[in-house]
Amino acid sequence: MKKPDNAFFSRVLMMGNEAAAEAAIRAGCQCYFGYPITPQNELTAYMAKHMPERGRVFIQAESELAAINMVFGASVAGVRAMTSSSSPGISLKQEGISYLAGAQLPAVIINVQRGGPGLGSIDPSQGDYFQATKGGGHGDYHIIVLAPASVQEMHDMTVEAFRLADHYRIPVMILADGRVGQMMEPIRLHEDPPPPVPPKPWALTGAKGRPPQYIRSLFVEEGALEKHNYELQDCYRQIAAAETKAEETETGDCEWLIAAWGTCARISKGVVRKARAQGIKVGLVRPITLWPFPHEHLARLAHQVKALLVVEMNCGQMLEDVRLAVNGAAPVHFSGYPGGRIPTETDVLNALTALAHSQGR
Amino acid sequence: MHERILIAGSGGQGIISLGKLLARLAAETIPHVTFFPAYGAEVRGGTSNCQVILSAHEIAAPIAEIFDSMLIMNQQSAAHFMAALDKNGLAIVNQSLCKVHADSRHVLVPATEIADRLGSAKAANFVMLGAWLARKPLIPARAIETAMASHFPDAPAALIDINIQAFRAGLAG
Repeated sequence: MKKPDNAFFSRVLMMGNEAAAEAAIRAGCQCYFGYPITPQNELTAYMAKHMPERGRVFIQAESELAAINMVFGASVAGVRAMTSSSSPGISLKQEGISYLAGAQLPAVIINVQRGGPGLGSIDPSQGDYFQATKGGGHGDYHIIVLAPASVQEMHDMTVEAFRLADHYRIPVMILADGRVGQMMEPIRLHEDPPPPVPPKPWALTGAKGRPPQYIRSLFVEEGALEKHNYELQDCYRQIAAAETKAEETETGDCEWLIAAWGTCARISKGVVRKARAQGIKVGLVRPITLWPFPHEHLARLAHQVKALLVVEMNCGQMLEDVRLAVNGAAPVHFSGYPGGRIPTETDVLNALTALAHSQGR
Repeated sequence: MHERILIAGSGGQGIISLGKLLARLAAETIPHVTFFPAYGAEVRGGTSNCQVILSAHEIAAPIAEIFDSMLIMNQQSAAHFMAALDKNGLAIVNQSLCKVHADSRHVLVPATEIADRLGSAKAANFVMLGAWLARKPLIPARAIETAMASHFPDAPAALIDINIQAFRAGLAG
């Protein structure tokens, strides 16, 4: 066996939920508000132990609704704040998320998805894609949505979420699932200083030495809401231009393309290796930001492939965005797993080989 | 190197904590390590299992279909999982609590009885780990003993000592 180098000793074996919690602390999160739910409880438990140790705020709220509104209050005061939950709990937070979006307030929200609808199951799922990327709450808004596929990404994306939230004054969601939340992997911890906090002249910090100001999401004056919504859309355009991210694997010469996110993308990476060993030239595109969605990656790749296969642990949600991006340039097929079961590499490989044979290799 | 390991038994047999210890120590020398505990529907009925994958290469699916190694600690797990043992795989089976058919891939170890004689049946998981490491020395045996105390910070010294003895018995047997 190879001798260990120093980089190995600096790795820490962590569970995804705890890696996200530790990242939030390292990113300068001052306030955590949450309410327990499986499969994200370890995140709340980690914050309960470690936030007070650092003199920061941890509150187990009386409900998810209370927790998201506590985030609103902390954010209004200009401090970094977050909440986390799993699917049914995230539904309860939607009103608050809409208000955060309307009031242009930074916040970090982690959703460790479980099965649904309703209470569903505690097994991993990707059933909240629509909810996360298409609004979730009422009104004409978006939030940034990041999709981790590993414990390292749970950690890194949480740090990045605080930067994005403050920079664009927008709620940012980490859309994980029970698999990535519960699994452990060795990771390198974020050792740099927290992302710098930009000036927040809008924050309500007491009106000493300045005129009073207020933050609200209600715009009743004639034309005010229209102006406000155009401002929001302008911000969304800036985010789409600067922050859209996707990872491509073996796409250079690919004739077939798998599109998948989070857990399914990771499984599909193994499928790409196995399929290529069988002579099927397949590539993988993995949206890292689900909103903004990497339309251009998909549109470009669609012109070089015979067909696409979208793989998700749901009945076809990102599928709709892929179809919009591909816009008829190639057939788009789907392989979905909605019951809390994580697909195996064999499941996805079978779907891909069936597609390749039916379309003629 | 790509080793897919399943550890399975009943709740209270130290399945999850053994998997975590193995993953933690493996991460010191092996580039890619994943640990995945069963936490959903499959844990109902008092069974417990986890998967540890050790690899020289990036691990795609952290959930394996076929296993190179199995540590099987009760009958229910034997019945449920052993069909997924690779044709060249190795299963360490707790003979004290399981009956399995004869197979050159199976190594039978009376782990619960050995641990019980040493002072605590709860240490059977370390007999199993020792027996596995004797045949697949993927991490140094000394590292296990050194890490024992820090892995169980709340355990009394006497219990740590029983764990170490159990581990050595497995390693020697």
